[in-house]
Amino acid sequence: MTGRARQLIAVAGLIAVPAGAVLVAVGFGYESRVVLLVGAVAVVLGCVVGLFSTKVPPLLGRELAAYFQSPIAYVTATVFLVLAGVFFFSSLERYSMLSEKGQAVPGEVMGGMLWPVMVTMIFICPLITMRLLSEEVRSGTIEVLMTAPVTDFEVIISKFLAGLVFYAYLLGMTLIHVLVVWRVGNPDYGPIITMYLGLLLLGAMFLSVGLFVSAFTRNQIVASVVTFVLLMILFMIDGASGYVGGAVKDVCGFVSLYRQSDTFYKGMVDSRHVVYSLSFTGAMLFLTVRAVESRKWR
Amino acid sequence: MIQADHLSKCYGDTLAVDDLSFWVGEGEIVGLLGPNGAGKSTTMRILTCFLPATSGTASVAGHDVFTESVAVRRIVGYLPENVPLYSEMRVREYLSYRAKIKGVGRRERTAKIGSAMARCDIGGVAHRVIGQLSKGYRQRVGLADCLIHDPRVLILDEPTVGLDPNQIIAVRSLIKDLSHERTVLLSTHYLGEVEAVCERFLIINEGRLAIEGRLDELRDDTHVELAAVGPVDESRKSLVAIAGVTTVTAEPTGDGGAAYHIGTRSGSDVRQVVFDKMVAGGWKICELHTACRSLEDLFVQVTKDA
Ligand SMILES: Nc1ncnc2c1ncn2[C@@H]1O[C@H](COP(=O)(O)OP(=O)(O)OP(=O)(O)O)[C@@H](O)[C@H]1O
Ligand SMILES: [Mg+2]
Repeated sequence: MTGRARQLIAVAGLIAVPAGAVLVAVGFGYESRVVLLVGAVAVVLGCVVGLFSTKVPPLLGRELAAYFQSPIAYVTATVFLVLAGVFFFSSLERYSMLSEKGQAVPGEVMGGMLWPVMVTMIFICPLITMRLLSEEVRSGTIEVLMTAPVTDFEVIISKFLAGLVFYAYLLGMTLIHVLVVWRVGNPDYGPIITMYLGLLLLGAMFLSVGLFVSAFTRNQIVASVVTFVLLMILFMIDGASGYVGGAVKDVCGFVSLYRQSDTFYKGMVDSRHVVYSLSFTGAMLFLTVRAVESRKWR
Repeated sequence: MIQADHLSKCYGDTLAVDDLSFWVGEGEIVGLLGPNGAGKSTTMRILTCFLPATSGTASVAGHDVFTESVAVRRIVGYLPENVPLYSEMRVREYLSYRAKIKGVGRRERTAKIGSAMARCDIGGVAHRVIGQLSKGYRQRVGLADCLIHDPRVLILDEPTVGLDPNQIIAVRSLIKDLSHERTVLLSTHYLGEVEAVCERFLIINEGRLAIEGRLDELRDDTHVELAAVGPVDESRKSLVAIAGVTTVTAEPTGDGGAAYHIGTRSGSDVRQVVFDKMVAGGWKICELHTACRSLEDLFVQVTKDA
């Protein structure tokens, strides 16, 4: 791509993002779903187009190739599918005992899948993120990467997006469960769609934590264990709210990722939760960029 | 083209580079020498923006390595010490990825990858997985990566380590070729390499610049070596008397004579006069030849007594 085309694309992206944000706000205020959706699409497209004008596509391409060329990816996918499948069928079985065949399968059944998939992801996300930065440092390739004309931000965002694509790929495979429900019943798609949206937002948070941790160690095992512990704490901090009171209790409850996600499977999109996940992810990515820069000061 | 001003770098407590200043002019090819742990790799890492200096500044082509780091990285081709590469990628795939992140345009990419591969003679392994290549081939893949975006400045950390003798010769001539239109800073432990390709050398020791010089000056700094049998004092006196001779040192040898080191003013060849003097005195010449000061002697001298 020539420099000029690159610039034009970047400008288009830069215009689309705030314009979309305004539309989202307007749609929200006037309770117009169409305007809100158009705005959200504009923001996402603007980001994608903007990223295309940077060095992100080749960096992302390499990260993805690295995922799909490593055996860990396939082990991870297998473990995930087995766990998600077992959880799904047990919840389906539970429901089928309660209802007669041919009746509509309420979204709650699919929504009920959210919890097990979410718990599985606490185990899976550390495996997805552990190699992202640790491996570069261990093998020394960070030196050739960081002496190429790319910014730290481009590198971090590419690694994050690669993790997110792999995560979405795992999540995509659970669509087969939706297919099963569609064959045996007549599910309500609203909660299913919001469930996937919730899982994506949750995954973005999990992955940003994992990426942040992997910036600090060259050992993948350490990275994955620390990430796992942090995710557990974040997930269950809600439990602590039973022992404390006042504002701390509210904060614990709100920060808890478990609480964050339970509206999604009821078919609702709570804007506070969307904003929370996006800002949490953004803040973690920002901290990761800083952590990678700090390598220079140590 | 490359300018370092009072660079210092501490790793925790260890001072790796200590108040180092030097410059490399445009189109020059300069060797960075020094014993193990002298701080060569650290200096190169600072110049390529991988590490910031603890104090001092450096610039490449007028761009500061700290504040305009992306501009510097765009014009520098860097070959790190142990040539880290993504081992799961294939050679061509790797070079194409590197060309993309270095901003080589789509139209010229194929041609540039092809010419870099041809220059480093890795066309035969284009489709092999990098992790399965031998050390020398990995080295050459790293070198090809370094050349792929036609950088104006090359910074090479021990580029010929691990290559076979034929390849060492090939890489040296490649570096020499490249240096016509580029500025090169290379570090090495093979002094012969510096003598073969470089115009100038910098020797650093314990992070400080021990000495810098030009190789042609070193070559001009000639002396005559003489071994003769005869009375030492008397021969010495007659040698000192020769016009153009500056110093004479004698070291007695077992056979009743001595080995003389005759320093001369540059440009004067005193061998014939020395011959005549020896013959006139009736002393027997065993050996008589000119020699220039070797880089090796200089290296040992400046890095030992520090
Ligand atoms: N990452 C690091 N952390 C701590 N100390 C380091 C680090 N890298 C290098 N050093 C120290 O800095 C000093 C200079 O190292 P450097 O690698 O620059 O030497 P060098 O001249 O390249 O040596 P060699 O000829 O062995 O390659 C050494 O004392 C080394 O121990
Ligand atoms: Mg070194």
